[in-house]
Amino acid sequence: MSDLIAAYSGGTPPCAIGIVRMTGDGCLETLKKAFFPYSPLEDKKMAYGRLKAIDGRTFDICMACFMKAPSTYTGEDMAEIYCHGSEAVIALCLKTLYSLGARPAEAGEFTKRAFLNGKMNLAQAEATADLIYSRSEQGAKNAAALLSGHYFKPIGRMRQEIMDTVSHFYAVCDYTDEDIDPFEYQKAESSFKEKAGYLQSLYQGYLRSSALSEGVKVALIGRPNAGKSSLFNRLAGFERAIVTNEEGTTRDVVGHTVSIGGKLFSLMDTAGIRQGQSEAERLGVQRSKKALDEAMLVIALFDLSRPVTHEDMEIAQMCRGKKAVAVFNKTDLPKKADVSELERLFEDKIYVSAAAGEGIGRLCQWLEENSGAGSDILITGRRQAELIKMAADSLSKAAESAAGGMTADAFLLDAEQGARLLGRVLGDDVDIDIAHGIFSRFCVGK
Amino acid sequence: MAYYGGKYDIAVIGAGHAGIEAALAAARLGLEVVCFSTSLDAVGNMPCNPSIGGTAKGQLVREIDALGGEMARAADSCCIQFRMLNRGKGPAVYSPRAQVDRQAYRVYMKKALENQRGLHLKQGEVTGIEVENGAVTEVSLSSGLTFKVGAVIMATGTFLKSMTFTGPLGREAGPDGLLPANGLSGCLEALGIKLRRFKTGTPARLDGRTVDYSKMTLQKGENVPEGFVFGGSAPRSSMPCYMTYTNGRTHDIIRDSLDRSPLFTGVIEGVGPRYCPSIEDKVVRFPEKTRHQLFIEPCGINTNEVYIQGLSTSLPEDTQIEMIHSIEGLENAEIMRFGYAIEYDCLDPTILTPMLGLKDIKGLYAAGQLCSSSGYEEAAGQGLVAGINAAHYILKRPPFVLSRQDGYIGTLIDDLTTKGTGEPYRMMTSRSEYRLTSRQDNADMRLMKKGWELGLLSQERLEKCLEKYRVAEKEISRLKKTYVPPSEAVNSLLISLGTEGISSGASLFDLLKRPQVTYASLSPIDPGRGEISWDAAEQVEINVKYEGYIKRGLKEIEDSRRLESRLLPEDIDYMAINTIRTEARQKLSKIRPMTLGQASRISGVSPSDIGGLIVWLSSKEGRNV
Repeated sequence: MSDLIAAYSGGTPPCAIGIVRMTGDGCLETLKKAFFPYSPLEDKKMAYGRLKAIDGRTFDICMACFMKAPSTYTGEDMAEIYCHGSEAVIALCLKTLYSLGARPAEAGEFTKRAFLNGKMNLAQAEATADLIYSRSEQGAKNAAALLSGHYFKPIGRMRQEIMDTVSHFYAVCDYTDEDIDPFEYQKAESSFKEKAGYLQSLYQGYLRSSALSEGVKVALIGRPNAGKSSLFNRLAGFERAIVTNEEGTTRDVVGHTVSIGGKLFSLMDTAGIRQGQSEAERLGVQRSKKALDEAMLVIALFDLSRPVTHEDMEIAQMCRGKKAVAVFNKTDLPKKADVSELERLFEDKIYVSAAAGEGIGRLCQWLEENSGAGSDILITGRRQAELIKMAADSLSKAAESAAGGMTADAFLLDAEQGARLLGRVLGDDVDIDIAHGIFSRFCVGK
Repeated sequence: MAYYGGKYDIAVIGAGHAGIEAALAAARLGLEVVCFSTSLDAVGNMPCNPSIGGTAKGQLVREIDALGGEMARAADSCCIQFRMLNRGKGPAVYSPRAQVDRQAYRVYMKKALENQRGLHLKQGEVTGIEVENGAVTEVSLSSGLTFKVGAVIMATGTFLKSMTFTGPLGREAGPDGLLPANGLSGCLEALGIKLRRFKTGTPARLDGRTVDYSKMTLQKGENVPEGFVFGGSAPRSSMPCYMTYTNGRTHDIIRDSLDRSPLFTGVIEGVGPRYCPSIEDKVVRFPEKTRHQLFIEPCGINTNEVYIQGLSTSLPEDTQIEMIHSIEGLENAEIMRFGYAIEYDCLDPTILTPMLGLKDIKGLYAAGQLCSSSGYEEAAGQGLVAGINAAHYILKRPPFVLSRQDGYIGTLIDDLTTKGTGEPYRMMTSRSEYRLTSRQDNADMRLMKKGWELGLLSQERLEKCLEKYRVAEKEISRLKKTYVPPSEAVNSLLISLGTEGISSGASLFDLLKRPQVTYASLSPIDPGRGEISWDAAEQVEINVKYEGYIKRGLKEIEDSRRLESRLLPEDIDYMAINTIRTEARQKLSKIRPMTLGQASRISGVSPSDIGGLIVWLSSKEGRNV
């Protein structure tokens, strides 16, 4: 029924072990022509043996496993070869399988087969894509929750409530002879408004964290030599930014993603905010300001060992309207700064010594607490986020039209549209065109 | 003794609301049609409420008119009160309803059938349908009379093996005490058609002179009744209805006699409609309700009989008397006919195609309550489609299918044939996902062209319709171009209408978009306005006000047509498609949908299954997904 496909499914080579996967008709026969086990192959049991190229030469000695249909990932016969993770070995392994009749798998084709063989529904297939792409614990948890089928209960409830409101209106219209409780326009309006707000906040959560895979953007700002790079390195855990004692050595925005408490943070170390001397420095300052705009969180760093300058005050001003923490650095040195005015400007204040590593734990805690990624649902998939945004827009429009005196037969169409979009998030209602899109998101080999 | 009666193109079994439309449509398409009724005095009978239309049903009637059917003309002609329901709730749910003189209606319909060329009305009970090589060839009557026919439309209503019940009293009878049709069921079962029992009911009729209307709320008809017929003259709307309520005592009386109610003692096995329940059903199912609304409706001009809408019942006669006398205004009412429940044979409509033909027997069609629907209007809509398709079958013309996007008749037939129904199916606005574009006021635009193409609607009526929309369109573009200044006159008018004034010039088009503003209300600040007909003005108003919604609706229709236009090969072996779940395979094998769109609406077939089906189809066509 289905042709034989093969692909590399492991991590980026070079790595310890490379996994080559194969599924389809003639899987076992083809495996036996490439992999020669020392003991007979058994269903779903690891076997040790030699991997031979078409010319009969052994090029690797490794493990392999054959899995018999239908209880496999794709629902078809499958084989996995765990060869050594060098590019040469992997390439030769694939080349061998291809010359034995397998063809290269397309992106997502293994999961597509799983779907076609009834192993998962579309929403689960989509979650598989998310699971592969997720780089943080929370993202993986959400994707796994969708895979297990318990996903987005509040969204399901919300959709039901919308449909109940719609049904009520039509019940009143359809049963004109029965005295059904009148439809309450204001109640509908406020319910749609509330739901739109909630969905909007979910979408914002997605935007802020730019899906968990990219991490919450955090900008580090401060005047030159305040210790930004040291702090950055403390948080990042290794030397990345250049740290010297000369002012203005960090000329660009240096970024790195770190995991704190299971959440990802994308730290952006900026050049010191200072009226630039050189062209390069001026550009660096511009970029710093841009980084500040994009950041969800801001760490404003102040040097306790030097007097407060107007540049420090400017930095404090720049933090207005952002979720920012004032970090007073160099507690290990004699205090020469009067920071009382700065302290007034910030709600959150932390004293640290980046050099000695003191107070870093409190800063990590602040980052975690303010990352906003702790809500019960966090949207991880881009498509889901877009659907949720559209649903929020539809519901806002319904609420607005209701408030403007539009008749219910019209504004309820917006609400229904919102419910339909939520149905798509849940996978109960699927836009057929999306089916292909979902599979094309998969990396080859899944 | 069998003897031969002649040859016809089509035989229609039954002359109720479905049979009438079927017979007229087929005869109007030039065929020789014989139409049988067990009683020629009951042609077009309305054994339940004396009214046509209502929510969603009114839409059906207007669509029937746009397609060249008869029901709208008959209803307008026999109308004694006309109302537009749900006014103020929005154009998608506006629904015309007429109280109709039921005796006049029967006379009108019988005459319409008699006067139709090619239509032969005969009294008799059809008990046999002959099928040879998978196609119908003959019908036979209980008397032994046989006719050669090319196609048969079954429109048996509630007559097949019908039983009526009033309390413990059950008898073999059709509605209104007419003879039941006991002979045909066995023949249908022998043809492999599974039958089931459904039930419905009707309330008592009273002598109107014994009703104290002073204790009730008057409900008058509209002063400017629009009627069902597009471009027709205003129907009569002079007879009033009245409203009253049941009360706690009524409910006690009902509860006390439930042990003698055939519905609750298990005598009636048929499934009744949830949407039109009997009063005893309502009292049991909604114990928290302290009263139920009732309407007293006149049965006609030449009779004192009145109908009690909302009091359908099969309770014993003595309970009915006591119950009615407990109601305000009915204390001394005299009952002329008692209410009863009726149980009858009908078929599972999923055995039918969207043309209402049986999937397995060529030339055999079904329409109306036999197909598990309820209501005169639902029956008439199906009858029209079955009549057209039976005629097309004989004439070897392509099938005529109305889709959900076309309107309510399409939605009704798609629901019945695709989803099926577990109870008598009643049309509702909530069943149509395209309700803002499938309105009662634009059925002419949606369907008249089809009616004309079929040959059921005159050129003259089509042109009148096209002219109406041309005028409306021209007026809309005029409104777009007509600007008014933020003058005192303009702003005081706007404020008096309950909306804000303007601070800079605005087009009349934009002003009309405001929910508080009507087309008529703008006339004082629109001196350049010419005279346009009220129905063109109605189109202007709706199309301006709901422009965004209508545009989106039309786009949705266009999008959905992609799935609808994807035809599924007739010979697909669904059981062999491993990309869909077993349950879905079984459902698809049973329904055998014509299009992917239809497949997607089968209950038990999930979007994932449709995805799987698409992928399977693509792979069969040699393409990737």
